[in-house]
Amino acid sequence: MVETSPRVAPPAAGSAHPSVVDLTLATRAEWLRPGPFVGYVEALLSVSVGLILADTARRWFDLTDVALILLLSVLFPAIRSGIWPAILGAVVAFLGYNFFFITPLYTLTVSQPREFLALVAFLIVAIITAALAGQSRERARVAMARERTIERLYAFTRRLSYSANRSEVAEAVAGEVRGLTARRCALLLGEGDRLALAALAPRGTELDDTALSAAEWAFGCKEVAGAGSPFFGDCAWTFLPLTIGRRPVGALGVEIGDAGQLLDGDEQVLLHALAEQAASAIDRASLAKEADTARAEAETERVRNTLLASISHDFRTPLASILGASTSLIDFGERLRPEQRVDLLSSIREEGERLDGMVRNLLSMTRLEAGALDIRRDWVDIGEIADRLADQARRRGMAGRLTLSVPSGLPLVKADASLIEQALSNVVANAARHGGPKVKITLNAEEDGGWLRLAVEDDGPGISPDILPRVFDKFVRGARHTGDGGDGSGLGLAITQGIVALHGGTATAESPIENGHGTRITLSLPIEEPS
Amino acid sequence: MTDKTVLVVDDEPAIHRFLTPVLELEGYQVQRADTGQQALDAMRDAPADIVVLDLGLPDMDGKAVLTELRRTRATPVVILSARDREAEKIEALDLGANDFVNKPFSVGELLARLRAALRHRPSEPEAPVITTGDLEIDLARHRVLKAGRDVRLARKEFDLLALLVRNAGTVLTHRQLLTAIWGDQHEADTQYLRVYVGQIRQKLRDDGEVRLIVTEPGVGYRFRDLG
Repeated sequence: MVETSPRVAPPAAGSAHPSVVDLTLATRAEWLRPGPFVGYVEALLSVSVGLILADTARRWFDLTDVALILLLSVLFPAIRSGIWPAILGAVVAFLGYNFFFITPLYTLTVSQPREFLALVAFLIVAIITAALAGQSRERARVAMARERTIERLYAFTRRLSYSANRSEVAEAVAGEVRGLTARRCALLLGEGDRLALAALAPRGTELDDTALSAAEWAFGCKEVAGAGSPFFGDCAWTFLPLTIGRRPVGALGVEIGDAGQLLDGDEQVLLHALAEQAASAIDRASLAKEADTARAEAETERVRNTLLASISHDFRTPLASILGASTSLIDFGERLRPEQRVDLLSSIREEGERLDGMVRNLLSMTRLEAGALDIRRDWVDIGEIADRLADQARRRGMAGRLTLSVPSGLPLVKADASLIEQALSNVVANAARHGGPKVKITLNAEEDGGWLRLAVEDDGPGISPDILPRVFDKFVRGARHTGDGGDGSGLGLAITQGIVALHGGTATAESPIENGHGTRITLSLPIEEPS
Repeated sequence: MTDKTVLVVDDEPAIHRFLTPVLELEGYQVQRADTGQQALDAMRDAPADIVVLDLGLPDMDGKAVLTELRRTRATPVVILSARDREAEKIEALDLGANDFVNKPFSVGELLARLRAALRHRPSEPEAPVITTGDLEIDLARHRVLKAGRDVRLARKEFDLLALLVRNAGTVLTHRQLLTAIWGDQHEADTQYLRVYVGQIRQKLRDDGEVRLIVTEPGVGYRFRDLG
């Protein structure tokens, strides 16, 4: 039947879809089709065998009425090949019955009215049997075809669900529709109010202006347009609207071709089912894309908010001190004792320095991220940097809380002194911030193989295990121990790591280090031999 | 000069560093607390006359300290908070804080707030006629005189003005004003306030450089303390 079905479009160039007709739904009228030639040969063979069997039965078993054996021989072609071969079989069986078994034998004449009646009854029974068997065969065939259609549709949806984005979905839809209908296929999707070509199968298929207008019509009016429809009937394509509810998402087109092989009912049903699945797949992909965009935007927004919040927060406390101290001096300066005045003035200087450090950190972060941090390497004595840190700590009222353990005779490292100081200062500030008011901080420096290890240890509560792996990430902050002014921007350690990495070194964090508390942050810098 | 005790609750040493000498100079006895718990302990053991409370504390939320304090005491509380944290300030004011100062602040500003908060103790009996600057408000007779001239105010306008003047120097939140004048069901209708405050300002010719009714953006209104 495959070869003779008139509904199958001539195979298009470059396509090989052998299973075309299996899918198309069988029509109700299909059982009336003549069927292949081989069916008729089979019917004649079957009836011949029946006649031989009937003759043998009569001779050997003295069977007088052989009509049932002949009916059986008609049933076979009816089941195998459909109604027309079966009817041919029935007529031949009728003639053979008359010729071989009805007296006078070996003629087509009938002498007895009784036997004439039997013959006519045989013919009627044979034809009805053939028709019934043929029909039920066709029904089974149709049912199987439907099942296959549903399986294909299911596979179609499943394949579409693997496609992640709109263009992939569009390609998949066009390819699948092409495969299922053996027609050239075009898929256009709405981008805002306009319709844009999204996929063609096979690639390189061209749409003329009429076809595009038909597609626009289908999209805009949510009606079938093109060949076989009242709109753009002279178009070589038929376009189905793709809609979700009442909202159009695109148009799906199949080529009808010059031969004018219009879509029949079943093909229309199939195409509409495909269009529906395609529309929902495309809609899903669009939603997924929108959700992705929204997520990305939300993430950017979150980072920006965190940065803004932390900057404003970090800047506010030193600003409050500076403003408070300076207004005190302005309004009450003369009434304050000299040592109180000096204290207020030095607090202004310290908080100014603190602000300067923050600005430097922020700038470094920005430059690190842009890959534009200037590094001016020179031979650096870590002892000098440690002394500067101790000095800083003293000025911040942390005298006695920072202990240095820097042996003399450590090799020099080739590094940017101010950046290394910033990196270490961030670690020390971090320890002071999270270690609590009575924290003891130690800076150990030692040579270890080709590395200079700078370890900052504190005896604070330590870093919680869920934060430890991310402690060098931006905007990761530990638990607050000094409150409002103290919780940092979450930038300090990120900058430290960035600086150390720029120098070819590593930064690691361990916590707890002793009796369930304490933190050790180790910066390792490579030692180069002076050339 | 005063002989009051003030408890300053802030975790930032730098704040204590400049506040303590100035407050002492103004005659306050200064107590210091770095955490919410220290503040509550201090108020239990040696209650201060007024509290300066920073809302961002390491151990507990400043609002929780306020709630806890208000269980037992009506001590005036002045909040220190960031300018951009309106919601937090409003919550604290509705929880019973008397006023707020935006960080960063000048010392003079804080001292003025402390004075105003100390003056308006809830127990104080009310004078029938309030005079402030060239404004005279007769609460019993519902009359307002501005520079000796009669100002005709509608009933709600008068109530609103009287409420603000009675609390001169301290801020009243939108909600506090709305519930007091219009009732609980109107606590979100801030447009009433915009309209009525606008009318009062117009009638009092309060459109000079120094306004009598000061808008605290996003928070509420304050009647300028004219001392």
